[in-house]
Amino acid sequence: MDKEFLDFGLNINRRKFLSRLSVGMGSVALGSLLIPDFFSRKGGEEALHAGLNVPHFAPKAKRVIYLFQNGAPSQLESFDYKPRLREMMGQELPESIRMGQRLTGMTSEQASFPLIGSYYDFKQYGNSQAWVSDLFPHMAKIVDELCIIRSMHTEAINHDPALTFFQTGAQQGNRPSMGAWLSYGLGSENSNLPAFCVLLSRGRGNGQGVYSKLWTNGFLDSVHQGVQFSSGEDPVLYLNNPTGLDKKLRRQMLDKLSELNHLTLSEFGDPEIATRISQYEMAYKMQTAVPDVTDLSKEPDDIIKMYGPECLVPGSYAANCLLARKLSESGVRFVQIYHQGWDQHGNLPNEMAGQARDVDQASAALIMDLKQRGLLDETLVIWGGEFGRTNYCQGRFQADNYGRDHHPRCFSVWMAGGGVKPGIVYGETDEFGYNIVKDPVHVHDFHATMLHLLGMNHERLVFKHLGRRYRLTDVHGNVVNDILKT
Amino acid sequence: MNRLFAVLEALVLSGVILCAFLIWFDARVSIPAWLQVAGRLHPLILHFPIVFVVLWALAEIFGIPGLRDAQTRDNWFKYLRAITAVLLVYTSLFGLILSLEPGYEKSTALLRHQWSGMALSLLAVFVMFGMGRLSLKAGRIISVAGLILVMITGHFGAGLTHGSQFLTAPLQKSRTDMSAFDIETALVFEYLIKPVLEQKCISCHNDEKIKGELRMLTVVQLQQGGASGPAVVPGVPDQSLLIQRLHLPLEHDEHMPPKGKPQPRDREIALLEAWIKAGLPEGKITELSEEDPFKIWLLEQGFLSTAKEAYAFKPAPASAIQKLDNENRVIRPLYASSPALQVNFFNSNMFKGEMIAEMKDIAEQIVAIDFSKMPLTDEHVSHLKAFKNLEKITANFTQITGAGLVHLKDLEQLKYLAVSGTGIRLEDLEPLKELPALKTIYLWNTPAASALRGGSALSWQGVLMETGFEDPGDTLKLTPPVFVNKEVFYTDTVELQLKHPIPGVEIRISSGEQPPDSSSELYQKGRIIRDHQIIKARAFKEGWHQSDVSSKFFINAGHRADTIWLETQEPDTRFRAEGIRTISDRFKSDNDFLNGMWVGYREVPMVVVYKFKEDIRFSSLVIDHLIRFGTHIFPPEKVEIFTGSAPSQLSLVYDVKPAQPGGWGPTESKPLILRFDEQKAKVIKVVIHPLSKLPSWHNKKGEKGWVFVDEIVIH
Repeated sequence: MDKEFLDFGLNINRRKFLSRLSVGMGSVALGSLLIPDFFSRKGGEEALHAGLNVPHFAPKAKRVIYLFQNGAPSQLESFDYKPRLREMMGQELPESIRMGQRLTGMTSEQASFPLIGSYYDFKQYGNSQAWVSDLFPHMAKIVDELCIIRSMHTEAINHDPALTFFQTGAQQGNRPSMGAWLSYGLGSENSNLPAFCVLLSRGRGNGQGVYSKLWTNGFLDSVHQGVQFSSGEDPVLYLNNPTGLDKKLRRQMLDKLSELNHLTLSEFGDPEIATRISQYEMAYKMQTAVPDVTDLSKEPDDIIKMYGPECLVPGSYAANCLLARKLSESGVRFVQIYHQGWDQHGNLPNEMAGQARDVDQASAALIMDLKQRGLLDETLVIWGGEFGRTNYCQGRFQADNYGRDHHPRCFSVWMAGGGVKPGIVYGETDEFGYNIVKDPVHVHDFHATMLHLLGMNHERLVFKHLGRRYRLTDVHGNVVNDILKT
Repeated sequence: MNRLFAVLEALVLSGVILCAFLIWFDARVSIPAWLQVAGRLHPLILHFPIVFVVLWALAEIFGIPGLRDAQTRDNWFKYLRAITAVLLVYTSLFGLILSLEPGYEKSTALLRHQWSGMALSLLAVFVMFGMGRLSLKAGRIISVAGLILVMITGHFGAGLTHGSQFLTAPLQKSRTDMSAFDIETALVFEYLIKPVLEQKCISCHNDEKIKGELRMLTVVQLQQGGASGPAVVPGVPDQSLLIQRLHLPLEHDEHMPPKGKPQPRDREIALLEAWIKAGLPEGKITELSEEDPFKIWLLEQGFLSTAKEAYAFKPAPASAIQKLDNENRVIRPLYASSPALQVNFFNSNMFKGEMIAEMKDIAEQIVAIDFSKMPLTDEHVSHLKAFKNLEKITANFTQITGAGLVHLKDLEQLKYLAVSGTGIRLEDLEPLKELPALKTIYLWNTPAASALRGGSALSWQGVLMETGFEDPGDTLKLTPPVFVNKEVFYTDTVELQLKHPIPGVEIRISSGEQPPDSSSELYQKGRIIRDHQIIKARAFKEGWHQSDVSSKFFINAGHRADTIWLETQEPDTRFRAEGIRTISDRFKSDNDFLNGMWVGYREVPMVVVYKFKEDIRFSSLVIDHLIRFGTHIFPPEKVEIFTGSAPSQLSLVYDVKPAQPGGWGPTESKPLILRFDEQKAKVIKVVIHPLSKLPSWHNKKGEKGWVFVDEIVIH
């Protein structure tokens, strides 16, 4: 144990050691190689690591609510209308379209790839005349608020890497997630609540798990990690003081504890201790802020009618949407909702109807609710999954009971509010819904655009780690200017 | 050895002659393809002579360690000089061949590189043939001269491949540093066009490396063009070579930038086209006229913003902001370099009206302020008069009324006002009618919104009244009430605790088989439960459908025996759980029969004996058991209770055959509540018989059934 402490102390002192060593010209050069801000006045790198807390330029959005549809909802039964697939029902996917592109192990052994059209009808809605399937009647009603992107594409073909890629900009799972970057870049608005909250719900459809690595802080300070709210009656557990311990006593206890922790911090210099100190403080502050946020008793009846009575059932998607609005309204930068159960390899028409019922009304209500409070302009709402689904049938071919496999080459998401052009449809796929033919949006582009809306240049939101500067967009990403409100 | 030296001499001489030939005839020679390959090796092999010149100079100055014998030393020097000369001559030759390829016009930089290289080679040749007769001192001086020539030649050469600014670029202030950029002074060409050219074109078309005789550093140079003609034709992008070359297929020989080099993005090409189409506008971006097609295009494409970027006012002193900024009143600039501030109030119990007045020193800079859910009154609002630059006020769910809105009537910059969830009436908005900048008022959940929906019209030009969600009028079903009590077993008494998230809901309860209806007992705080009971609850509210029923068992945990033992053991050891502990821990297990918290019997009856020190009185027995038909878990076939004063003297006082289910059902756990006349005893024996034959509707009819017990209570 002692040896580890010693090693650790040596590690953190390397910089100091080298900077003291700078006697001769050579060691100064060496020092400045290892410590790039050695000659600069302000200590640029230190300032960099402290985060910004202020956007680079005038932001369109201040906050994000991400309605992540975990498992990958089919674009062909939601927003990407492909009548050709119905016309060619049961015919083989032409090789000229597939072009030998990779498939998952679940269908690569299939003898044939019969095309299958949507079981559900599509209609055009609103002034934008966007096509929406019958599964989403509430979203259809607010289609003029949405910017539907039908040309998203990603690199991964399986859930875990694709999810991780979407959340962190890399498939490996060791990078900070979007919310952590935002917390790092913009800081918290309301210091009584975490800057990054995570809410989970689960539908009845075939599901895929979510893991805490999806809201990790990666190499950023632990304070930027997403705080997962519990799906039960109490979104945050153990908020109340234990019996016999009043607020004053608790304050005293925390002050003493903090003194001790500061002592340890000065001895070992482990940044995790600093994080722990601030987490105790946060927990104390949340004792007053959270009951305020989770209290539904002050919500007018209208709200329950908008989101649907399901919003009163703790842990449901609708309840999470309502909670997300309340958290966002209280200054939480990034609320990440996951709704599980969208992985329809089989029984798609049936399962997808259930999933759509879970999310349709509440997602639309969230947009309307933000709008009627004057908050939609400053809140970016995003709806979508980690990839799309194939235009051919997985498993037994049956027009009313079929499955679709993973398809990373095109899928649909929508954005609303927060400086995005409302009532537009961006990007286009071919008539088979297999490849993108116009305006592709890669996940990196999506991240760059999101950060741009929040007033941050994705190339300047960096953190230096293991000798190189990291970004959410790595070395890629172009802002999709065409969907920005001017 | 001398033969080898002769070969080297011959090589050097032929190399020198070839060099002279190439310099003399220059562009008149045509180079065969295979020789071009040799030319292109120049950037690779040039590293060898550099190393050898350095070695040679070091050897001249410091000598070669370990060589005392003069003969050997001379030999070493002889060959070192010879190899250096051969390498230098042939590197020069390859360089000359490369320089004859198209794209290496004889610029000053190229000529400098060429002649310094030739000088170095000739020096080496001179040394190779004449050094033997030179003094040690002269040798040193010449070798140092060679070293200097290597540096000069190398520097000019590197300038050709990397650009003359390459070496010193990191010391110069980066142009791409956005924070240093000032839109007020930025020039069209320098800021918008040149960065694209710099990244994609200028590395080959500059003053040093003038491929195709084209330089692209200035507008004039672009118009002058190169070997094929002007690069740009003002007003006609289609006829401009610059654009034509960009649009050729990537495989085409004349496509620019050449295949393998970074290609411009579509957006960058569009920018160049728009600039040419507009006739190559120059000058400051801000001074382009509003009608300039290029300016219009820039605005449309989002290169420029119409938004008022800069506020006229000066930033507030940082110390003033710091003093006022705290966790209840968060003050932030709109963005890093903006003088404008936004204020957000949090924590309603900490809100005080003075918190607005306190901000008078920074009032000018505040453009947005959010009071959502704060106890904001009209009197507090009166302080906002001083906030002349306010553009957005958010006061949803506050106590603001018409009397408060009057104070806002002089805020000429006000664009957005959100008063959703307040008591604002339509007529209260009248004082704001003349506000010049007003765009939207958010009125959801106010009397004003109801009035607007009811047909009252406001004829305000250009102001949007956002009334929000409109109740479609359909009646929804309430969600069932929620039991706050989590425990099933309690001692003595327990207070029933029920809640419902919707305010104004009535909860009605019943404790029998009948579900509650609108006339059942109204749940009120302090309702006490004493007995074993199943409580059913249902929510009612005007304008809603009644909810489904939620229900919960309450079991009085009753007497705790002094000693308990099991008289029988099920042969199947998997379902013994923790025996006595399991059935008396007063912990309700979930419905998972494999979780180790259920005691199961099939082959023999379950026999539990309770022994008390004193006589106890009891009139009920509760057996919490599991029903799971698929795994043959049924209610007990028969329960018998024996009592007495000692285990050996017991007599049957009660037996019952519980009703068996008539068909398939879901997995559930149920307390079997047995009530009988009050008994008095010291020792109680309970015998629970598993079902001996599964019923006829079961697919394994006739087989033995299981009984699974979680808890037994004597009360």
